[in-house]
Amino acid sequence: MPPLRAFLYSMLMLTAADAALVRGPYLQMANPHAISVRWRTDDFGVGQVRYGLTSVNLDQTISETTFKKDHELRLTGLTPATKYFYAVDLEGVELAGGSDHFFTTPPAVGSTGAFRFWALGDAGTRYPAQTMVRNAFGGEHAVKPADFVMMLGDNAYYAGSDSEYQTAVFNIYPTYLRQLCFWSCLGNHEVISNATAPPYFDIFTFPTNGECGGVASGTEHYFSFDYANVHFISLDFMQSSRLASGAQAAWLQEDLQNVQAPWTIVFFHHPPYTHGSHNSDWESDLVQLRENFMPILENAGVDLVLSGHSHCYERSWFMRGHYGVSSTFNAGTHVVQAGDGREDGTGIYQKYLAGPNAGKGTVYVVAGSAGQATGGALDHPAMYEGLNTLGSLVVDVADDRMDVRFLNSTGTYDDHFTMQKTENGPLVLPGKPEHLGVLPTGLTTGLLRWDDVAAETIYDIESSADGMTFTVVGSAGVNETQFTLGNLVNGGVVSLRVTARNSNGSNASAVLTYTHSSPPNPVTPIETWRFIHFAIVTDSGDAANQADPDHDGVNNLLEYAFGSNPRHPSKPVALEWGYDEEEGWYAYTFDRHARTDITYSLEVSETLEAVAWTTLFTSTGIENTQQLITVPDTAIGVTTRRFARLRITNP
Amino acid sequence: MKLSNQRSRIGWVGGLLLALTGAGWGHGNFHELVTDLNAKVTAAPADAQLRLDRALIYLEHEDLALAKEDLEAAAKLGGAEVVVLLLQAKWHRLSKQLPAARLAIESCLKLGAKNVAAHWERLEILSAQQETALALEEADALLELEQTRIPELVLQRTQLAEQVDAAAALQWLDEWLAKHPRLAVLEQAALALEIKLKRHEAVLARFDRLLAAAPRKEFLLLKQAQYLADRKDAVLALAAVASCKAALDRLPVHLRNLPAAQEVGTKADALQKALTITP
Repeated sequence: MPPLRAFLYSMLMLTAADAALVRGPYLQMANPHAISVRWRTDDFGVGQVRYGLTSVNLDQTISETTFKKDHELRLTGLTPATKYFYAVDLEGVELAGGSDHFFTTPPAVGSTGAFRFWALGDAGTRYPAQTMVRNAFGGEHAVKPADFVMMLGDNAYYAGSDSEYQTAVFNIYPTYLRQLCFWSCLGNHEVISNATAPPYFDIFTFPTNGECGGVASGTEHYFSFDYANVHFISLDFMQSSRLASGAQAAWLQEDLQNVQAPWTIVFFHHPPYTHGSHNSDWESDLVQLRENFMPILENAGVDLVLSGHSHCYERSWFMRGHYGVSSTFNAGTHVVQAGDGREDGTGIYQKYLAGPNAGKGTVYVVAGSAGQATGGALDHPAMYEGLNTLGSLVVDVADDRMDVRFLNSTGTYDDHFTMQKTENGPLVLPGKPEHLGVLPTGLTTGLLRWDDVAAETIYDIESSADGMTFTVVGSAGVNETQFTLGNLVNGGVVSLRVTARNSNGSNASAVLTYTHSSPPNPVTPIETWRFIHFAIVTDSGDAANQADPDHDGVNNLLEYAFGSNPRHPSKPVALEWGYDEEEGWYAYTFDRHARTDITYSLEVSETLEAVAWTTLFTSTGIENTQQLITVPDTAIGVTTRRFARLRITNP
Repeated sequence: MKLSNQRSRIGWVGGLLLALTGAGWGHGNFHELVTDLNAKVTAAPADAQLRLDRALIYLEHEDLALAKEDLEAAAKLGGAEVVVLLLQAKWHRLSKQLPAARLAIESCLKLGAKNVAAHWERLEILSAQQETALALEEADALLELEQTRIPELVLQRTQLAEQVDAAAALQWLDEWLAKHPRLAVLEQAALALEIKLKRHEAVLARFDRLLAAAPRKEFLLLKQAQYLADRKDAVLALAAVASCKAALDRLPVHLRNLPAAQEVGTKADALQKALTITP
């Protein structure tokens, strides 16, 4: 050895001998036959991993070939579902090892045995809350260990720097990190310290070339992996394109088109549905990802979607097809199977493998309270449950059953639901349309109404002069509950029959015998609306202006004014404000519906005192069309605060 | 007062007015972040970084008026010049003031030639200006610097090149694919270019390669059948439809009845019918 090289080598050896472990070891990118072991030392050296089937016989070795501080070695040729013990060395000196340094390789892809993973979102606050959530899971883990950990982003506040990762992740979860493979998705706080080259990508090793299953993505921003009979997909809505025409969407389509597993779970930081500390109605990134990506996921039959970002727990209905803002959520249309999804409640969610509902139904969970709980309205109508509670998710999969539970920071489960893959769905037939009624609207016209039923694709409307032989007079589409009758004769009797159908057929028809009597006075629009929804025209009972029969906090008059359904819980967004770039002013907007008998008054004030409100704009509904009305308010930006309200009046 | 059916003209900052009153410290929430930064800016009005932090939040929510105030203040305070110029460029682009955006980003890159975010911004600006040749150069420069968003950049570069010369775009993409992992997404982009360029033999070869690599074939076979039907090659199209339907039949039940698979089946049936009726 030349003298200079010998000197350098001995210097490095001396340094390495003193080197200390400052991070890890931690486990990455596990598949049934391989796993990556990573660790960091405070000085350079050549790393080595020794591993074997018992902690006292680490008979296999893999070594680095260059001097490093950040070490990574991929152990290959492993046996699936097998427990291995390991130790990490630097320059022949053991830095970590022993009976608590082990991992279990994932089972063979497609296997149906039980496994568990722990999902935690927005954990990295370093607050006591983070430790409480971790400790609560510790109790569960001691009884039934998790097989891997899924981080839902914002893993290390505030900026996702390497040092913050040290204190918020590596110092908090050292045992789990050395025993379980950690997966993650990119949160918004991962990119604050360095948006161009976030430390996140140096800290984690994720598959870019399909190393753990799925289609190669070519990037660690989004990727997929298989574990037993579940296909997992991690997406990035922070830095990667949220466009339907973007590279991420194209890859997702490819990946989903090649899924072979019975279950698919997708996770990403930004939630498509939330009314927590974020709002998916107006935050443009959430709107965009929901509109562009959720149809792709649902079309591919994705079972569970996990997110964080909102620091709360929200869990949706078993649903499908809701891509708009929360006010457009319609339980009748979007809920695939009603109920809480609980075995000890209204019954578990059935994900059918065949039949009309095959592959339909997804549960969306926001689990962003593993480090703090900061509330929010928690009233998104797509959500079955909303909790301002610290906690994390424990997910168990066993063959055709998946149990998802929200574990709070005291070790108690606050919510749970179960999904089951069921071979054949029942033959779903639409029910009988109840409460048929006719509102006479003119000399020869009337309005036929009925109650909406589930699972219909069309309503057949028939009439008969003798009550025996019926003739089809028209049809109504899905979710419609009215039909205009013509050619009625004053004093004439007619039998009317309404049948709900779908591709499986029909169940029972509703029949009404009606005697036409032209109304003495014109029927008002709100009376017609009441009749359609409640089968009565008077301002009384469930149909009263001030009544709220669906208990959504929006009374009938407001439901009428904003065009929502008074019998389906929803919260219409009444009033918004924003800056009009083109005009250079702040303005309010609201949707004025085609209500000729409603006055919409926009009132503003600098205080909430009753006398202080002034009317900025009034719409008397002269134009009988729906309009988005924009009302500028030049006082915004001048005054220190501004309150606004929309007053609805039915003269 | 005016009536409008277009929301998109308005850069929304708020949502429900009540949200304005939201307060308290937290991570991530727009209003909470702004409230937090407001307090910090009040406490340290000469801290340019705080102004930039707040400007970035405003820019992300496209609140251009408030972002402008902070950017101007940060510029006056001095320091962090690269970031100031980068955000100014972004502000001008969002304000559709593209020449000013261009000036700002060029100045920014003079100070920080290897700033990846600045190069992405320049690519956005040049694309918006329809300066395709320069945008292509920028994409090539960015390919030397970008570490993690490679597929996105390659696709964007291909789309830009296609605007100038589809054949050259395909050649570049093929050369890129030859040197890198053959990502299915990029192969699909190459296939689309080959179809556009009517390179029939190359299209068939690409389909074969994609089919060989795909664990599931039905989606690709339907696409192949549609391509062949468009070329009026009914015999081969029908054969591809038959293969597609056979692939569907071979799927296990948990995949066969998924909405996406059902859609493939419906389209295959319709194509088969059309091809049979109109050979």
